[in-house]
Amino acid sequence: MEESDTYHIRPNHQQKFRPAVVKECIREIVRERLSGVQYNPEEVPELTRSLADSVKDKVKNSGFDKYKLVVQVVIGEQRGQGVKMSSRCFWDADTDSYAEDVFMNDSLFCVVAVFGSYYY
Amino acid sequence: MYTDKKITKEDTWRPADLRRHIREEERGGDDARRRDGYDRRYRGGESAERRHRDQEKESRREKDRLRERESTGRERRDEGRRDRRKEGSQDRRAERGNEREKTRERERFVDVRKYGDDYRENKETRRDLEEKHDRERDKERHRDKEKERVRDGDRHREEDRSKRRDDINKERKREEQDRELRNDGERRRHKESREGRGAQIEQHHREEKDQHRERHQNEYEDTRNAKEERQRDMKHLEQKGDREYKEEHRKRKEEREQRHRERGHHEEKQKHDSEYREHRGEEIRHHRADRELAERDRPKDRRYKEGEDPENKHRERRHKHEADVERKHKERKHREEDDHRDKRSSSGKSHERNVQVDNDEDLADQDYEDDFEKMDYEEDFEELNESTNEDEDEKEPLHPQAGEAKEELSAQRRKEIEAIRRAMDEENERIGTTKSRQSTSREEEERPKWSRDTEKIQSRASQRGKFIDFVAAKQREVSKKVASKQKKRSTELLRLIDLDFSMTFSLLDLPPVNEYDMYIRNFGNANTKQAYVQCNEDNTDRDIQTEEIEMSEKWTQHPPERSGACGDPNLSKEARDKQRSEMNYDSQRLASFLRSASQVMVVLLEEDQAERKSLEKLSTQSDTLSFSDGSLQLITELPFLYDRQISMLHFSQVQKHTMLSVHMPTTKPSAKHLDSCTIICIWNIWEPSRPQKILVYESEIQCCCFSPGKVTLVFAGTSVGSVVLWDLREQSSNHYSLKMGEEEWTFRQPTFSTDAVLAASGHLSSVTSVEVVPSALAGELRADVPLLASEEESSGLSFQLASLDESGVLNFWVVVELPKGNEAGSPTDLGLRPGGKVKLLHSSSVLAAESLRGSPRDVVKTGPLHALLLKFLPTDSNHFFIGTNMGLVHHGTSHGLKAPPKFYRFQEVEVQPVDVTSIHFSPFRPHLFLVGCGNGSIRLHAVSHEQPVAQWKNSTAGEPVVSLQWAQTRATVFCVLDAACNLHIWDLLKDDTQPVVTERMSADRVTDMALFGQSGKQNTYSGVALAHESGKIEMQYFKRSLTVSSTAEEEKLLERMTTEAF
Repeated sequence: MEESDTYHIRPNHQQKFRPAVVKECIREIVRERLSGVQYNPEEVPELTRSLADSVKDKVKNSGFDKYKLVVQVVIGEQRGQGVKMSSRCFWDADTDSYAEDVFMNDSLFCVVAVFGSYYY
Repeated sequence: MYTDKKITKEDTWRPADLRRHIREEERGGDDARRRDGYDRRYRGGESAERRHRDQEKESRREKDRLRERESTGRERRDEGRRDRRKEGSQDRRAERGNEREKTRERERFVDVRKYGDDYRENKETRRDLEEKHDRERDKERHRDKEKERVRDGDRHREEDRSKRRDDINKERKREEQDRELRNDGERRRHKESREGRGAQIEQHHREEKDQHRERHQNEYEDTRNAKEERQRDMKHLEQKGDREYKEEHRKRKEEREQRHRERGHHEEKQKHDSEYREHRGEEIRHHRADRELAERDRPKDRRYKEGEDPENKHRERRHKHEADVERKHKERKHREEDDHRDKRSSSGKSHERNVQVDNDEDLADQDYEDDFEKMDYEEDFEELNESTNEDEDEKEPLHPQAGEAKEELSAQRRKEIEAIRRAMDEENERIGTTKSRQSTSREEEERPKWSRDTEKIQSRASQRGKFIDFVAAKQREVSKKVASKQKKRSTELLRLIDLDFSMTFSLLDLPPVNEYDMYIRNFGNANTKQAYVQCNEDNTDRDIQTEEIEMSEKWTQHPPERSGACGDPNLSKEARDKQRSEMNYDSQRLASFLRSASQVMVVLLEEDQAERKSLEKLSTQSDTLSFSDGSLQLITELPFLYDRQISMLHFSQVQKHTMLSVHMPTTKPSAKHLDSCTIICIWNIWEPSRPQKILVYESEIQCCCFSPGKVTLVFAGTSVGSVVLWDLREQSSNHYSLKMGEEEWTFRQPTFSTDAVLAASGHLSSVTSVEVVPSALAGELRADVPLLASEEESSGLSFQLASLDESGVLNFWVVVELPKGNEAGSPTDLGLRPGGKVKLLHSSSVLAAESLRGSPRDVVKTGPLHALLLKFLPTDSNHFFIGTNMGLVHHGTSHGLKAPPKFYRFQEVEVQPVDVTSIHFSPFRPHLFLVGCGNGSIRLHAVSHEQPVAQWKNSTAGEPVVSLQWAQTRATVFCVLDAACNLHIWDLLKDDTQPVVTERMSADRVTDMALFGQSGKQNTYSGVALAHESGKIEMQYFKRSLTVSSTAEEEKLLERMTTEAF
C-alpha cells in the first residue's frame, strides 16, 4: 500500500492573493512612474518592461508566497481610438486571482494586470 | 463532465503499477484495458453507441453479402483478384491520404509545440489516440463477429493460427538472427524482409488480437488445438485457403469502406465521418504498428526520424508509407509462394507483442490523459474532425495519381533516401551524446502529457542506438522518475482541485472619442474669450400692487386754546408731541379744575337766582328786619331734614362760604330710618338749593368743627363721649345712598370713630367741645386761601385736634392721613371705616379740672367747675381758654407755661354761678375776646388782663346769651342772640353802652345764629345765618353800614377802649 502524500491545496489566509493589495501596489508604481509622461514610441517598450519588473518585485515583496505571478503591462498612445482589452484564465478560482489597474493621462493609457497562480 | 472525470479518475491506474501489471499478465491486462476502454466508450456518449449499432447492422449486411460472394467468390477469383488490386490501390490511396493527414497533424504538432501552445496540441494528439482506441475496439468487435462467422464456416484458419502459435518459440530465435542480419546493414534484404514481415505482421497483429479474445472467451478452442495438431498435414493448403480468405476479407472490408466513403458524400455527414474516421483510424493504427515495427527494425530510420527538422520527418514518413504500400502490393503478389514469409510473420508476431507492450504502456498513459482532458474539448474535436475530413475529401481525387507516381519513383527514391540516411547517421553520431542531455532537460520542462510522446521517441532512440549510452539511460531513468513523480503529484492534486475558466475580465474598455470631442480637445480652448453676457442680472424691477395708506394728522382742542376746533395739518411734529404731553398733564388738572369750576358755576347760578328771589323778598320783608340788606333762605325742606331742630350752625374760618348745620334727631316717628341719627349738612351759602354733603351719626352730636385750611374734614364730639370725623373727599359711591323722590342722596358715615376703641384714653363723659389746635402756619394762611390748594390739602392734615368733655378732660389728637386706604378694612385701626384714610391718634390728655380746682377761693365754695367751652388763642396754640359754669373763663397752657391771668372774671369780685355760654375772639384783634354768660351779661376781655375791658349787664334784659359773635368785616360790630330770640347788634364805634339794633324774631324761634362775611375789596359782604326752630336756615345780609367800615377808625377805638380800661 502506498502512502498518500498531503498537499497544501489552499494558501494560507494571510498569503492569499488579495487583489486590493496588489491593485494598490500597481497604482502606486504606475502613478509614480507615469504621471506627466508623454507617449514616446522609442521609450515605451523599455518603460513597459521596467514597469512590469517593478510591479512584479513589489508584489513579490507583499508576501504572496507560493504564488506564481504574471505581470502584463500595456501602454498605448491615446489618440481618441477605442481600445478593448480582456483576459480569460483557466485556473483554480479558489486560489488564483488577478488584479488590474488602469492609468490614463492625456497622451497615453497604461493597463497593468497581475495574475497570481497558486503553486500547490 | 464532472462525474465523468471522477469516475475515470477512479478507474485510472498509476503508471508504475500498470506497467508491472502489464508485464505480469500481458494478455489479461490487455483484455482488461480493452474492456475498460469499451466501458469508457459507452460512457463517453451516445454517438459511439449509435456507431456500434450501425456497424453491427452493416456487418450483418456484409455477412449476407459475404455469403453471396462466397458462393460466387471462387468462380470469380481471377476477376476478384483484379478487383482486389484496384481496391487495394484505392485502399492504399486512402491510406496515403490518411498518412498525409497524419503528417500534417504531426507538423502542426511540431509547429504548435514550437510556439508553446501545448494545449491544442495535446488535444489533437489525444484525440488521435482516442480515435485509435475507438477504432481498435471497433475493429475488434468486427473481427469477433467475423470470427464467429469464420468459426462456423472454417476451422482451418484457427488451426493454422494455433500452429503458428506453436511456432512462435522457434521463430523468436529466427528473429534474433534477423536482427543480427539487419544490424549488418543489408539494407536491401532488410527492406524486403521488413516489407514482407510488415504486411504479415499487420495481419498477425489482427489475428493475434482475435486469438486473444478467442482464448479468453472460449476455452474450448484450446482443446480443439489438439485436433488441429493432427490436421497439420493439411496445413499448407489450409493456410493458403486461409490466406485467400483473408485476402477476400480484406477486399470486402475495403469495398465496404469504399462504399462508406461514397455514401459519406450523400448521407449524414456526421455519422459517416465518424465511421470513416474509425476506418481511417484503423488504418492508421495498422500503419503505426507497422511503423513502429519498422522503426524497431531500423534504428537508423529511427534516428533519422528523430531529427529536429519536421520536414525530414515528414519525408521519411512518406517514404515509409510508400514502402509500406509497395510492401503490401508485393505481399499480395507473392503470398502463396512465400512460405518462408509465413515463418517470419510469426516472428513478427513476437515483435508485435513487444510492441504491444509498449503500446499498452502508452495506452495507459493515454488513459490518464484522456481521463482529464477529453471531457472539455469534445466539441472542439468534432469541429476539427470535420475540417480534416473536408480536407481529405478535397484531396482524395489527387491521391491515385500521386500514389502511382510514387510507385514508379520508389526505386529511385530509395536510393536517395539511403544517401540521406547515411548523411543523417553521421550527423546523429555527433548529436548522439548531446541528444540525451537535451532530452532529459526537455523532459523536465515539458508537461507530462505530451512529454510522453517524446519520451517514447527517445526511449526508442536509445533502444535502437548503435552504442549503449549508460549515462543517458541513467539520466533518462532519473528524469522518468521525476516525471512520474510529477505526474503522480499532478494526478493526485487534480483530483482535489477544480480547474475552470474564469470569467472574461475586461481589463480596459476605452470607447473611441467622437470627432467633435477630439476637435474640442485639440482646438476647443484656442482663441476664445468671453465678450458679452446676454443676461442683465442687475437690471431688476420691483412692483407692489397694494397702495400705500394715506395718513393725515388732525387735532382737536381741549381746552380750546386756538380759534379752530380741530385740524392743523401744518403743525409740526414737535409741537404736536409737546401739546400732547401738555394735554396729558392737563387732563389730571382738568378734573380738579372742573370740580372747582363747576362749583363756581353752580354758585354763580344760584347766586343769580337767589338775588332775584331776595329782591322779591326784600320788597316784602324789608320792614321786618331793620339791619338786613336782604336775605337768602337755604332750602332745608328735604325729606330727611323734616321736623328736625337745628342745634348749631358753623362757618369755616378759611372757606367762609362753607357752613355746616347740625340737625338733631327727631322725636316724631317718620317713615325714614334716619330718625334716630344726627344729620350734619354741609352747605355752600352761595348754593342754597341743596346741601353739598350729608353726614350721618347714630347719636347726638354736641359740637362740630372744620379742619383748618380747606374744608376736607369734619370733626364732631358726641354725647356718648366719642370723637368722630368725616373725610369729605371720600367717593360718594363708597357710602350708603338713598333715593328720595327724584333725587338721590348720599349719607356719609363717619370715617373714624374713637367709640369703643380708645375707651381707655378717650372721654368718659359727653364731649362738649372739639377745637382744632391752630398752628402758626394755619394762622398765616388765613389771609389768603387759594381755591385750588392741592399742596395744602395733603400737608394741611398735619394738625392736632383737641376735645374737651364735661368732666374737664382735655384730649389732644393727632390727625393722621394714611397714604392708602384699605377697602377690606384694617385689622389694627379698628375705628377706621373700610376704605377710610384718615384716623385720630391719641397724643396727650390734660385734666383741665385740676387747673380749675386751683381757682380762687370763691370757686371752691360753689363746688366743682364744669368745663363748658374750649377756645384756643388763634395766634398761640399753647393757650387755651375754657369757659366754666361759674361765669369764669380759665386760661390754661398746654406745656406748663405760666400765663398771668389764670381766670377771667366779672368786674364784680364775687363769683356767680353763671354758665359761660359763648366765647369768641375778634378776627381783627386776636387778644380781645367776648364772653357771653347765662345771665345775659356780656364782657369784653383782653387776654392779658383778669378784669374785663368792658362789661355790659342787662343788655339782653336778663335773657341768657345763646350765641355771640364778632362780625367778619367790621372790628367793632358784634351780634348777640339771647334765648328770647332777640338779636342784638352792637357797633361800639357808634354806641358802646347799648346795641345799635335789637331785632325780635318772635314768629319762628331762632335756635342758633352764625355770622359770616368776607372782607373782599370789591365784593364785601357780611351777614348772619339764623337757624330757626322750624328747621329753616335764613341768611340775612347786613346793610352796608354794618358791613363796610374804616378799619383804622375801628381799631383806634378798640385800642382806646383797652387803654381806657386799664
